[in-house]
Amino acid sequence: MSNSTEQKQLYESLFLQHYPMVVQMCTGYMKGDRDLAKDIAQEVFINVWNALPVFKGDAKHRTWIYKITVNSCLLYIRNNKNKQTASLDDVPNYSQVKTETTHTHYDSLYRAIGELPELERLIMMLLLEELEYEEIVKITGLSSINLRVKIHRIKKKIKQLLNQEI
Amino acid sequence: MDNIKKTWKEAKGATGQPSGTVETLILKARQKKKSVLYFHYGNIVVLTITLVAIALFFYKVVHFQTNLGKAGIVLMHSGLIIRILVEVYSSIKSKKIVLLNDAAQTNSDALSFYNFRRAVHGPITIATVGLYMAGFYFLSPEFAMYLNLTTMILMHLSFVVGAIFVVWQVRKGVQTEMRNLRSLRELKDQLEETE
Repeated sequence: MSNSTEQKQLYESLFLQHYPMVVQMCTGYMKGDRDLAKDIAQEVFINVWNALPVFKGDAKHRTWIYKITVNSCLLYIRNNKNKQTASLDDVPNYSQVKTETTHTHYDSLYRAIGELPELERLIMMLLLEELEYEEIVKITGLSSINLRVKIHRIKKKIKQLLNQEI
Repeated sequence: MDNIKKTWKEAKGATGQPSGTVETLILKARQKKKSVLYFHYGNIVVLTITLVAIALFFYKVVHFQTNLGKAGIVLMHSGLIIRILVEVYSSIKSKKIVLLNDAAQTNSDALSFYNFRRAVHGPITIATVGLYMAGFYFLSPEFAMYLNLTTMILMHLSFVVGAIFVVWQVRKGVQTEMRNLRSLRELKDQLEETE
């Protein structure tokens, strides 16, 4: 089997396996805007394909995809800060627009996460993905102590934010 | 926290199907790779072609006799060569921004790139444009010996219009890059902040 066929097979399996996680991370990052999240998720998988030949196997595929997702999200915000981005607050009839009505159930969570600063938002979502602290350190590049301090603060903040939502 | 995790998992389950196929994504990835390549080398190629065209014009078509004219040629070439070298270095620096690194490393590399770009847009651009313009005006007296007044006026006017267009384009790029720089600094602060 040729290298390119193997690469395509690996890519396809990574795509199918990690697509929900990537879209969910992007949705949280984009404050619940699923359409925008799907656009960024597409960008993530475009970056994954282009990075596949240099993947050395020194990390788990999962960690590797989280890194690309986090960096793609940060890059997206950087490149689009001047453009208008729609959040749940900006879309008046969000629940009517969406065909999947169950999404409204998650709105308060997305809204609360969206209130956090960029980095804290990403750390919060990595926590929700149930990643080990060590893996979060690898993805963010924060020191272990700094991460623990931040997590403590984020948990307090999110609790407050969710209470406000209720 | 457990309740939030539960809600998060449920939301993930409701993500829906991917909007594109793997083949479409691979096609888009290849297009992106190509456009990144054009972005990296486009400026360098255009500037190199300009340099070669000017060099051929001066060495094959118009032979300047005066020392001032010769100095003008050297200045114009120097401005372009410096600019090409800056673009090459800039392209090397931008390639160091890799999404496979951790967020702090990627941010630090991006910050280093945009700090360099800020220096490029400041003193380096002023120096290269200055050299190029000085070179052009050094050539003017000798041009005036062979060209009539109307042609000279047209030549200078077109040079000024061209310069205004270039300055406008550069200004647009600078504003975007400086906005990116501010955003990267904010993120750096978040990464370093402990209290």
